[in-house]
Amino acid sequence: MASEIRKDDGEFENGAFASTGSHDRHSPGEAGAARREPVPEEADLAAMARERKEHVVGDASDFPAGSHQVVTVGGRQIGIFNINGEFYGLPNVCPHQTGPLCEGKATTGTLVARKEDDWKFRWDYEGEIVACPWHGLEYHVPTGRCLAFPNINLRRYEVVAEDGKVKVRL
Amino acid sequence: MEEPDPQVEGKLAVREEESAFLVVRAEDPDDWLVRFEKSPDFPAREWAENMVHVYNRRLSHRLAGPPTPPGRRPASYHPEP
Repeated sequence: MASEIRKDDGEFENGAFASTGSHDRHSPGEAGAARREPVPEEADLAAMARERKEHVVGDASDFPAGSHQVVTVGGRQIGIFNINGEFYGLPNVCPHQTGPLCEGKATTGTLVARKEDDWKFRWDYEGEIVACPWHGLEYHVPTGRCLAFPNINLRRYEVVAEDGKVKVRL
Repeated sequence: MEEPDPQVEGKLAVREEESAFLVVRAEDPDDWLVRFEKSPDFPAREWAENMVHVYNRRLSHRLAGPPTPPGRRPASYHPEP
Protein backbone atom coordinates (compact mmCIF):
# COMPACT_ATOMS: atom_id res chain seq x y z
CA MET A 1 0.00 0.00 0.00
CA ALA A 2 1.60 3.25 -1.10
CA SER A 3 0.68 5.50 1.74
CA GLU A 4 2.38 7.76 4.18
CA ILE A 5 1.60 8.18 7.86
CA ARG A 6 2.26 11.40 9.67
CA LYS A 7 1.66 11.51 13.39
CA ASP A 8 1.24 14.85 14.98
CA ASP A 9 1.82 15.59 18.62
CA GLY A 10 2.27 19.32 18.13
CA GLU A 11 0.32 22.27 19.32
CA PHE A 12 -2.14 24.24 17.32
CA GLU A 13 -0.22 27.45 17.49
CA ASN A 14 -2.25 30.40 16.43
CA GLY A 15 -5.82 29.24 16.28
CA ALA A 16 -6.81 31.86 13.75
CA PHE A 17 -8.81 31.01 10.69
CA ALA A 18 -8.51 33.16 7.62
CA SER A 19 -11.12 33.55 4.95
CA THR A 20 -10.13 32.02 1.66
CA GLY A 21 -13.28 32.78 -0.19
CA SER A 22 -15.30 30.49 -2.33
CA HIS A 23 -15.87 27.52 -0.02
CA ASP A 24 -17.14 29.50 2.89
CA ARG A 25 -20.78 29.25 1.90
CA HIS A 26 -22.90 26.54 0.47
CA SER A 27 -22.99 26.69 -3.26
CA PRO A 28 -25.68 25.03 -5.31
CA GLY A 29 -23.39 22.63 -7.06
CA GLU A 30 -21.81 21.53 -3.84
CA ALA A 31 -25.07 20.92 -2.07
CA GLY A 32 -26.38 19.01 -5.04
CA ALA A 33 -23.29 16.86 -4.97
CA ALA A 34 -24.39 15.32 -1.71
CA ARG A 35 -26.32 12.68 -3.65
CA ARG A 36 -23.19 11.25 -5.25
CA GLU A 37 -22.12 7.91 -3.88
CA PRO A 38 -18.46 7.75 -2.94
CA VAL A 39 -16.47 5.20 -4.92
CA PRO A 40 -14.71 2.65 -2.72
CA GLU A 41 -11.04 3.36 -2.76
CA GLU A 42 -7.96 2.11 -1.05
CA ALA A 43 -9.12 2.96 2.46
CA ASP A 44 -12.51 1.33 1.96
CA LEU A 45 -10.98 -1.80 0.52
CA ALA A 46 -8.50 -2.04 3.38
CA ALA A 47 -11.30 -1.64 5.89
CA MET A 48 -13.38 -4.29 4.13
CA ALA A 49 -10.45 -6.70 4.11
CA ARG A 50 -10.10 -6.51 7.87
CA GLU A 51 -11.81 -9.03 10.04
CA ARG A 52 -15.04 -7.33 10.99
CA LYS A 53 -16.69 -7.48 14.35
CA GLU A 54 -20.34 -6.99 15.04
CA HIS A 55 -21.31 -4.90 18.05
CA VAL A 56 -24.83 -4.76 19.44
CA VAL A 57 -25.52 -1.16 20.46
CA GLY A 58 -29.13 -1.46 21.60
CA ASP A 59 -32.63 -2.56 20.87
CA ALA A 60 -34.19 -1.39 17.63
CA SER A 61 -36.90 0.27 19.70
CA ASP A 62 -34.22 2.55 21.15
CA PHE A 63 -33.66 4.02 17.67
CA PRO A 64 -37.04 5.05 16.26
CA ALA A 65 -37.22 6.56 12.79
CA GLY A 66 -36.11 10.16 12.81
CA SER A 67 -33.91 9.74 15.87
CA HIS A 68 -30.19 9.58 16.38
CA GLN A 69 -27.87 8.99 19.29
CA VAL A 70 -24.19 8.52 20.00
CA VAL A 71 -22.81 5.15 21.11
CA THR A 72 -19.28 4.05 21.97
CA VAL A 73 -18.02 1.11 19.97
CA GLY A 74 -14.52 -0.19 19.37
CA GLY A 75 -12.78 2.76 20.97
CA ARG A 76 -14.68 5.49 19.19
CA GLN A 77 -17.99 7.29 19.40
CA ILE A 78 -20.38 6.69 16.53
CA GLY A 79 -23.56 8.55 15.76
CA ILE A 80 -26.33 6.10 14.88
CA PHE A 81 -29.09 7.60 12.71
CA ASN A 82 -32.41 6.06 11.75
CA ILE A 83 -33.66 7.87 8.67
CA ASN A 84 -36.92 6.43 7.42
CA GLY A 85 -36.01 2.99 8.67
CA GLU A 86 -32.50 2.99 7.19
CA PHE A 87 -29.63 2.99 9.67
CA TYR A 88 -26.44 4.98 9.22
CA GLY A 89 -23.34 5.39 11.35
CA LEU A 90 -20.90 8.29 11.28
CA PRO A 91 -17.89 9.15 13.45
CA ASN A 92 -18.79 11.63 16.17
CA VAL A 93 -16.01 14.02 15.25
CA CYS A 94 -16.25 16.99 12.96
CA PRO A 95 -13.34 17.39 10.53
CA HIS A 96 -13.40 21.13 11.08
CA GLN A 97 -12.36 21.52 14.73
CA THR A 98 -13.20 18.02 16.01
CA GLY A 99 -16.52 18.93 17.60
CA PRO A 100 -19.06 16.27 18.62
CA LEU A 101 -20.72 16.30 15.24
CA CYS A 102 -23.39 13.69 15.88
CA GLU A 103 -24.61 15.41 19.00
CA GLY A 104 -26.33 17.94 16.82
CA LYS A 105 -29.87 18.19 18.13
CA ALA A 106 -31.89 16.95 15.20
CA THR A 107 -31.49 15.96 11.64
CA THR A 108 -32.98 18.48 9.30
CA GLY A 109 -32.90 19.47 5.66
CA THR A 110 -31.07 22.26 3.93
CA LEU A 111 -31.64 24.91 1.28
CA VAL A 112 -30.28 24.07 -2.13
CA ALA A 113 -30.37 25.83 -5.48
CA ARG A 114 -29.64 24.09 -8.76
CA LYS A 115 -29.15 25.25 -12.28
CA GLU A 116 -31.96 23.01 -13.54
CA ASP A 117 -34.32 24.83 -11.16
CA ASP A 118 -33.13 28.23 -12.40
CA TRP A 119 -31.17 28.64 -9.16
CA LYS A 120 -34.30 28.95 -7.09
CA PHE A 121 -33.85 27.91 -3.51
CA ARG A 122 -35.77 24.95 -2.26
CA TRP A 123 -35.69 22.79 0.82
CA ASP A 124 -34.15 19.37 0.26
CA TYR A 125 -32.66 16.37 2.06
CA GLU A 126 -35.30 16.64 4.78
CA GLY A 127 -34.23 14.57 7.78
CA GLU A 128 -30.86 13.73 6.24
CA ILE A 129 -28.66 16.61 7.41
CA VAL A 130 -26.82 16.91 10.69
CA ALA A 131 -25.05 20.10 11.75
CA CYS A 132 -22.09 20.15 14.11
CA PRO A 133 -23.22 21.84 17.34
CA TRP A 134 -19.92 23.69 17.67
CA HIS A 135 -19.69 25.67 14.45
CA GLY A 136 -22.58 24.57 12.28
CA LEU A 137 -20.87 22.69 9.47
CA GLU A 138 -23.48 20.44 7.85
CA TYR A 139 -23.18 16.85 6.64
CA HIS A 140 -25.42 14.61 4.56
CA VAL A 141 -25.84 11.57 6.78
CA PRO A 142 -26.50 8.87 4.12
CA THR A 143 -23.34 9.73 2.17
CA GLY A 144 -21.17 11.24 4.91
CA ARG A 145 -20.46 14.17 2.64
CA CYS A 146 -19.94 17.70 3.91
CA LEU A 147 -22.32 20.10 2.18
CA ALA A 148 -20.06 23.13 2.15
CA PHE A 149 -16.90 21.19 1.27
CA PRO A 150 -17.75 18.09 -0.78
CA ASN A 151 -14.09 17.06 -0.72
CA ILE A 152 -14.68 16.04 2.88
CA ASN A 153 -16.24 12.63 3.39
CA LEU A 154 -16.88 11.01 6.72
CA ARG A 155 -16.46 7.28 7.09
CA ARG A 156 -19.80 5.49 7.01
CA TYR A 157 -20.00 2.61 9.43
CA GLU A 158 -22.27 -0.26 8.56
CA VAL A 159 -25.29 -0.34 10.85
CA VAL A 160 -28.04 -2.94 10.61
CA ALA A 161 -31.16 -3.87 12.52
CA GLU A 162 -31.48 -7.62 12.96
CA ASP A 163 -33.56 -9.68 15.36
CA GLY A 164 -34.72 -6.56 17.12
CA LYS A 165 -31.17 -5.36 17.77
CA VAL A 166 -29.15 -2.58 16.21
CA LYS A 167 -25.64 -3.70 15.33
CA VAL A 168 -22.54 -1.87 14.13
CA ARG A 169 -20.04 -3.76 12.03
CA LEU A 170 -16.45 -2.53 12.35
CA MET B 1 -16.74 23.16 32.38
CA GLU B 2 -16.15 19.43 32.45
CA GLU B 3 -14.42 18.11 29.38
CA PRO B 4 -16.41 15.28 27.78
CA ASP B 5 -14.90 11.90 27.03
CA PRO B 6 -12.73 11.89 23.91
CA GLN B 7 -14.63 10.86 20.82
CA VAL B 8 -11.83 8.54 19.72
CA GLU B 9 -9.42 6.63 21.91
CA GLY B 10 -5.82 7.54 21.23
CA LYS B 11 -4.21 10.04 18.94
CA LEU B 12 -5.02 10.65 15.32
CA ALA B 13 -2.64 10.74 12.38
CA VAL B 14 -2.67 11.67 8.70
CA ARG B 15 -2.28 9.05 6.00
CA GLU B 16 -1.73 10.07 2.42
CA GLU B 17 -3.11 8.15 -0.51
CA GLU B 18 -2.95 8.93 -4.18
CA SER B 19 -6.29 10.74 -4.26
CA ALA B 20 -6.87 11.80 -0.67
CA PHE B 21 -5.50 12.56 2.75
CA LEU B 22 -7.09 10.41 5.43
CA VAL B 23 -7.34 11.03 9.13
CA VAL B 24 -6.81 7.72 10.86
CA ARG B 25 -6.26 6.34 14.34
CA ALA B 26 -2.52 6.55 14.95
CA GLU B 27 -2.39 3.07 16.41
CA ASP B 28 -4.24 1.53 13.46
CA PRO B 29 -3.73 3.43 10.19
CA ASP B 30 -6.29 1.28 8.39
CA ASP B 31 -8.95 2.56 10.76
CA TRP B 32 -9.87 5.82 9.10
CA LEU B 33 -12.39 8.47 10.12
CA VAL B 34 -12.40 11.10 7.41
CA ARG B 35 -11.24 11.42 3.80
CA PHE B 36 -10.13 14.76 2.40
CA GLU B 37 -10.15 14.35 -1.37
CA LYS B 38 -7.34 16.06 -3.21
CA SER B 39 -8.24 18.66 -5.79
CA PRO B 40 -6.61 21.87 -7.01
CA ASP B 41 -9.19 24.07 -5.30
CA PHE B 42 -9.26 22.34 -1.94
CA PRO B 43 -6.41 22.28 0.62
CA ALA B 44 -6.90 18.65 1.60
CA ARG B 45 -3.54 18.29 3.33
CA GLU B 46 -4.10 21.40 5.45
CA TRP B 47 -7.55 20.25 6.50
CA ALA B 48 -6.30 16.79 7.49
CA GLU B 49 -3.29 18.10 9.37
CA ASN B 50 -5.37 20.72 11.14
CA MET B 51 -7.91 18.14 12.27
CA VAL B 52 -5.11 16.00 13.71
CA HIS B 53 -3.45 19.03 15.38
CA VAL B 54 -6.65 20.14 17.05
CA TYR B 55 -7.77 16.70 18.15
CA ASN B 56 -4.40 15.62 19.55
CA ARG B 57 -4.08 18.89 21.41
CA ARG B 58 -7.51 18.43 22.95
CA LEU B 59 -6.54 14.89 23.92
CA SER B 60 -3.26 15.99 25.52
CA HIS B 61 -4.72 18.97 27.30
CA ARG B 62 -8.15 17.86 28.39
CA LEU B 63 -9.31 21.39 29.09
CA ALA B 64 -8.13 22.72 25.74
CA GLY B 65 -11.05 23.78 23.64
CA PRO B 66 -11.15 24.22 19.90
CA PRO B 67 -9.51 27.26 18.28
CA THR B 68 -12.93 28.81 17.75
CA PRO B 69 -15.18 28.70 20.82
CA PRO B 70 -18.20 26.43 20.35
CA GLY B 71 -21.27 28.34 19.30
CA ARG B 72 -19.35 31.04 17.45
CA ARG B 73 -19.27 30.85 13.67
CA PRO B 74 -15.71 31.24 12.36
CA ALA B 75 -15.02 33.85 9.69
CA SER B 76 -13.79 30.99 7.54
CA TYR B 77 -13.83 27.26 7.97
CA HIS B 78 -10.54 26.76 6.19
CA PRO B 79 -7.38 26.18 8.24
CA GLU B 80 -4.64 28.72 7.88
CA PRO B 81 -1.90 27.76 5.42
